[in-house]
Amino acid sequence: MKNKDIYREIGNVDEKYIRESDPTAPRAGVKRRKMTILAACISVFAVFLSLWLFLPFSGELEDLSKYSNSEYYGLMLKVQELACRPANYLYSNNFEKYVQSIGRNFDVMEGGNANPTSPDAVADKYEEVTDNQYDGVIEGDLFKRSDKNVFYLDPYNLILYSYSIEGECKLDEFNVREVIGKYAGASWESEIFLSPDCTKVTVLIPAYNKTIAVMLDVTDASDIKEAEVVEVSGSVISSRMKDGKLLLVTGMPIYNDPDFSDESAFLPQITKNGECESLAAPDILYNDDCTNAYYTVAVMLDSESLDVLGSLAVLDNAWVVSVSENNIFLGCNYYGYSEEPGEYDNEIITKNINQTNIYTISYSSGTLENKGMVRVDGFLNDQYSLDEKDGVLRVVTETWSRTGKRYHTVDKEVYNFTSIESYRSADLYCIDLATNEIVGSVIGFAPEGEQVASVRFDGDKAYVCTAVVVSFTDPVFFFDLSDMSNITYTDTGVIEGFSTSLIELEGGYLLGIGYGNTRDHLKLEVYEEKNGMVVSVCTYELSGVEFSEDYKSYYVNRKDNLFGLMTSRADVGDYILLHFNGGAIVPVANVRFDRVSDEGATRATMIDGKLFVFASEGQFEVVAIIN
Amino acid sequence: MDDKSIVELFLARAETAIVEAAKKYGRYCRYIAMRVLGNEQDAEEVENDTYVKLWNSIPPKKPEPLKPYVGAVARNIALNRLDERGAQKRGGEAWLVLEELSECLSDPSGSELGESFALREALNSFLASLDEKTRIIFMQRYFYTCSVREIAAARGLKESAVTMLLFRTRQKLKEHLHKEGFDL
Repeated sequence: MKNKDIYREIGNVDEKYIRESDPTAPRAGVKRRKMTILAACISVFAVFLSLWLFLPFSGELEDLSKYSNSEYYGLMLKVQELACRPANYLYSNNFEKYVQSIGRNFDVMEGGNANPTSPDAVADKYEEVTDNQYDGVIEGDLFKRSDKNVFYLDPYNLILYSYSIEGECKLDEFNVREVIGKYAGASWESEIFLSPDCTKVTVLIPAYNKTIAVMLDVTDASDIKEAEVVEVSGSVISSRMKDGKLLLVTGMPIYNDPDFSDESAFLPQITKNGECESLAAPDILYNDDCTNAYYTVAVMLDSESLDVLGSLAVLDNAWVVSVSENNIFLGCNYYGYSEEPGEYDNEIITKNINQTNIYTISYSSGTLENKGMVRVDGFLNDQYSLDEKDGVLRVVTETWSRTGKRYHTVDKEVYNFTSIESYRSADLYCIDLATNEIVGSVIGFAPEGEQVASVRFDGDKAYVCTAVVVSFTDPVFFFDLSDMSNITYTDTGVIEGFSTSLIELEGGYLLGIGYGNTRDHLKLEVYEEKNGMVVSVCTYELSGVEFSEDYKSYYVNRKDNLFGLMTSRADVGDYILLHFNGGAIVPVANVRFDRVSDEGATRATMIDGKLFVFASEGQFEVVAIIN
Repeated sequence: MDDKSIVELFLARAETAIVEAAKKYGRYCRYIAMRVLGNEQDAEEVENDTYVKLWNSIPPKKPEPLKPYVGAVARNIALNRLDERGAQKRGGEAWLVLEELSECLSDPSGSELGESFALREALNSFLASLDEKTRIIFMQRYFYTCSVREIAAARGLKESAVTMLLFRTRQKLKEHLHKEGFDL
């Protein structure tokens, strides 16, 4: 994460700034007040006041029995267990207690009139530009297109490019910042969908702890209007559109010590046409052993009206979401923990193991239905770590465990030493979705210490790239999943660099996009399965360049074995289009951009033999591709 | 026990140093770790790891006062633990803070030691340029990962006022870093 460095570096600023802002220390003004109150103790009033100020808080949690008739009572108890602390947890008495205030302000800027520039009239035929994980399950993206227009989200503005297939390409631009810009919080995480009839664009905008779905009527490009708006608690994690239904998954943290008399503080909610409703209690799932004060909220909306067709939430924190043709899979990290007595009286052996709760939510019946949860060892890398085929969910995880020893002092209250050993590898699981039981697995297939860099399932095959990311080496594993009771696999052996994306190509080839021997070394490699082995066919490498790991920023054309991505050197961008001809990867086009602030925001598509490239800050280039 | 005495115990390699540090700063460590990780068990482990780090770093270091040093160590360990959870970034207040800071610096290239040092110096000079109230609120948000609600309540301000002050301060930080030659 790029901005994590500045967050970390704030931890190393001068100690005087850390000391003066310490929120756990009494402030100077408070000290003076304390002295004043002590001095006033000579009066009876001051005595009572002092009692109120310094009476110790209880170590008990709030009694929620007054809500025992609420349908949310069981959930409240669980949320209290996860998110509430005794009154004396941080503050021993009222004197220290912060005055709690409720709610968050969300400033809405005034809207304005749309730019009068008018591109061509409405388009009529939808053209898919996103390389979706499942055919027909459309993923949100920064751009979508019809046969006449391309919509590109940049990231605060929705820009509309229209073009003519006759003669030279014509470019018009329609900036609707005024329409969606009023929703503060729009960022690069926003995504759009285009309706099948190409008359509506739905923009998903992450705002503070909620996601706003704004549907824009683009029937008349000169007068784009806001048609519908829905707000869902939590920030958008992922989204899909299938068969006229928009599936939205958000993540909502529950802040510490929520006010249980205010449903918005501890329940996910949906707001449409000014009416706000909390999810019904039966639609909120939780387990006795869940450890996250965090909801993952799945909502199904009608893609034409944004009417709510179904909603379901789990009290768990989904890091990875994958949506197949029938099911939504939520991958939630779970930290397994155990401890046992050690060799000595004051020694405890602790073991942490990372695991994933995978929730299955079916959406094929027209609403959302809980289909249960299964827990596997390890964490998921991304959505491509999950794949459903014929009622079986195939999963690749990166496993990690840590064993430690803790020693207590004599009073058994303070630990005085910890030593740690850790182990890292990878597992593959096959789960029967009818029973949520594991019906096949390969445990610990990666060399110890390797991380999962990328995964791709293709029918009965699975490809996994694991890597030692410090030394930039990897093997690529090939799994044969045709017999789940006897999964076989092989690997390429150690290869320099590692792939962050694996893409299956026509003819049994596999393309890896990732790093060479350093972080600024781009390496594309084509592999081929031959005699039960995976062998490297060819590579294409560029050194001294930066590129994005975001799969959606790559152009992938399997039919013609074409693929493209943005690279940059010192902010100057080169979009490279490459072709795999069966024996080598050869460059086809190079499109230069004067500045590139975010390679991951680049999108490209091929229209009538021309390569259209859309980049951040409203940049756009089109070049003709010969043959 | 005062900080100087605790540091002397560390220097003398007396294990009671850890006991005394835990008595005095245990709650402070857990407070910081809880803000970053949002998990009591993890916070407890961060506290333990902090004592190990103190044991291993004193000597040669002789921090005085001790508390900011303990805070910085606990925060760094908590951030490492956050990294261990996976590459994705979501996870409570720390995620919100990261999201807010993302507008200040698109790519700080913090992996380079020289860049990291320069960024630290730039942050120090930026903090020095702020008035005390703004600086404290900024640090409580981005060092201690306090929520806007907590800061507002502690300082008797409206949440919207804190949000706006933080927004303006981030804008100033962005300009400051730009002037210092960081990529925006």
